[in-house]
Amino acid sequence: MQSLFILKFLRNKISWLYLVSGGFLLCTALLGLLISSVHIPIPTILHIIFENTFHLGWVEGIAKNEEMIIWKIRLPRVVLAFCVGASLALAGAAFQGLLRNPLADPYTIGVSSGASLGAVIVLFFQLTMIGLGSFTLPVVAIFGGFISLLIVFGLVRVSSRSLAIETIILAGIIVSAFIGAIVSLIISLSDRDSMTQIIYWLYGSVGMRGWSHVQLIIPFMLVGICILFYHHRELNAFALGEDAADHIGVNVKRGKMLILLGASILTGAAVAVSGSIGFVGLVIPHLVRLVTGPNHRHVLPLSLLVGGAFLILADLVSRTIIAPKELPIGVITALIGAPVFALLLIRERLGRRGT
Amino acid sequence: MKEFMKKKRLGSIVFLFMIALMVGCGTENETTQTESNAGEEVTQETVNKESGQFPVTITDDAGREVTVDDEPESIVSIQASNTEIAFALGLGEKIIGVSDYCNYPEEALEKEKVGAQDINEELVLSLLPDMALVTDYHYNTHPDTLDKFEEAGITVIVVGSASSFDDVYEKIAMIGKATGSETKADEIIADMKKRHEAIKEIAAEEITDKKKVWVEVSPSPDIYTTGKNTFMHEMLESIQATNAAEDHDGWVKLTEEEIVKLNPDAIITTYGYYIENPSEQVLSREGWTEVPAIKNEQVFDVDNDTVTRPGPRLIEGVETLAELIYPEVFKK
Repeated sequence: MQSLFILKFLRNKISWLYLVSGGFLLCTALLGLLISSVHIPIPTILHIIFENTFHLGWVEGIAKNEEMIIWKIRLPRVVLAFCVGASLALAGAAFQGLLRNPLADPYTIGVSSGASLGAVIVLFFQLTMIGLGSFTLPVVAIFGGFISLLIVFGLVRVSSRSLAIETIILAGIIVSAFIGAIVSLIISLSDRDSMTQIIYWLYGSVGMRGWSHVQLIIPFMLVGICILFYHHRELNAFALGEDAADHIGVNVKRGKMLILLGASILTGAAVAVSGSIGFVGLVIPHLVRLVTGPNHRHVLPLSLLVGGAFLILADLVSRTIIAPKELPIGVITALIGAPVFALLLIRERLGRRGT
Repeated sequence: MKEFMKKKRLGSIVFLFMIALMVGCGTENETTQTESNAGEEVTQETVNKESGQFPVTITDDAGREVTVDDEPESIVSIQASNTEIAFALGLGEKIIGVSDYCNYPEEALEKEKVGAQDINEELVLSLLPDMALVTDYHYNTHPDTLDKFEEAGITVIVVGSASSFDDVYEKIAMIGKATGSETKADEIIADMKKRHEAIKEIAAEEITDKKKVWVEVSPSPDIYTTGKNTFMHEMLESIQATNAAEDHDGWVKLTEEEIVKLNPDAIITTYGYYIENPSEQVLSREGWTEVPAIKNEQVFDVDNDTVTRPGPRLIEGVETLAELIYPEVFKK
């Protein structure tokens, strides 16, 4: 009962939540910058960041390699982790809202698998599209994700006419399984070098990337964020069911299409730069929704902040826990994510029984 | 094709000359290097060698021209074979970082581990070596990382993969030249060649009845073997043994049925470092009892690193194989 009271209290103080999430993000970002297998004194780190952003350095004689470690490796890594986590969590929030299903997430409905397949094809055949250059990878990944989404919806339409929620999840699992088989096929047909390359890539990681990958994801991330934030009212309306949404004057078809597109862009871009990292899109929006309630006006931005912070934290754990070696970040997100998810489910059920 | 494989030794020399000629159209540096790799005496080269002067310019295996301004005082080697080569060249003191898999020589185990396929960039930059020996895998998958290293003043040398002895000689020569230990590199190459030639000669003279050898690089149920274009194949050829998997290319997986049908006279396993009693495992396989290698208990395990790792110890691998497969000829 008491926790319910707290929840209600917090719901009224939504700005507090933004404050807490922002603070959480700032803390994890700072931790991500400060802690690593290589020790660099904190003043030096702060100096390097201020020097490179505002030209406001105060320490003399910083070693070139220390500057590169912070500015070219650690900072882009933290920023990239934030971008990927934020994109995945936001996409997950949109899918969950649209499909009214807490199980929906870029992975369960097949978008991630499609994006992975697109990316694997680009990596394996070393494709570069004319006029796209290094943007080939994210564009093809987004395209792959969107196509698999269309296939999922095609399957649903053929089987049940209305876009029934359960069928979407089922169709998503079918398509994921099929695409997974194609990826395995490509892996087994490739030579040993490309094999290791693809498998390492599929593990998912935000390490060894640098600013170029941040530049790859940022434009797509912004577009996706704009589309989804703009449609938060539609997402709220969909919570009542599609018919109800139609009755209160929402253009269901258009809204749904744009939301799916936005979420696919976010997922595809995230998969393209980091490989497949699971559970962020499932757990974070769910957690945020538990605290903030169902209003997407707050669920979306808070998912973005918390998702980003969560992935920074997960990355931090993955590179420090067995330093100097690294664990795949997907392992960490699943190890943290799955129990938290289970805990949330149990607590929710117990809470419901209590009232 | 078979004809070609039989004359592989001759063929590879001709091939190297052709490469030398082709590359010669590019730059002069490359010509001298490739020729010296082929073991030919080049007078220009010896002049340079004696003075041992830097800067030297080499063309690494990614095709980049790399100029080494000063003799490197500290080296990070992110592949086991390169680490072995560097230690053999007497650079052990200078090595300050190795890959996670470097296990030879023992001193390598005490060095800082800086990653494998994925490099711990921060660690390498904090060690700030003069030179980093990386692989073509790193070059293809993590070009950004190598750029960062170079920006920090680390000379990055890409060492490609090797599948023949000549490839290995080339690599040893390249690393030798880049680190100012050319004389030592030539010594190692000459020694390897001499020992290899000696074995080839004895084998060619004394072995009349060629044995068919089946190689296993991973245990059952996923039995991988080494086909053509592998060290194992070249080694077996040079000791006058037949590679049972000579119809295949590279590392391939065969089924038990196919292997039994090949009817090998001897079986070599290379996974004894992670499986207990590999020979017993092979000998106890059901349905293999009529295979000559099993009947005569000709199943041996060799140190994987000496037969698959493109380093100076390959020659030990050949010698071990020769003694195991033809003990009557090679074991004195």
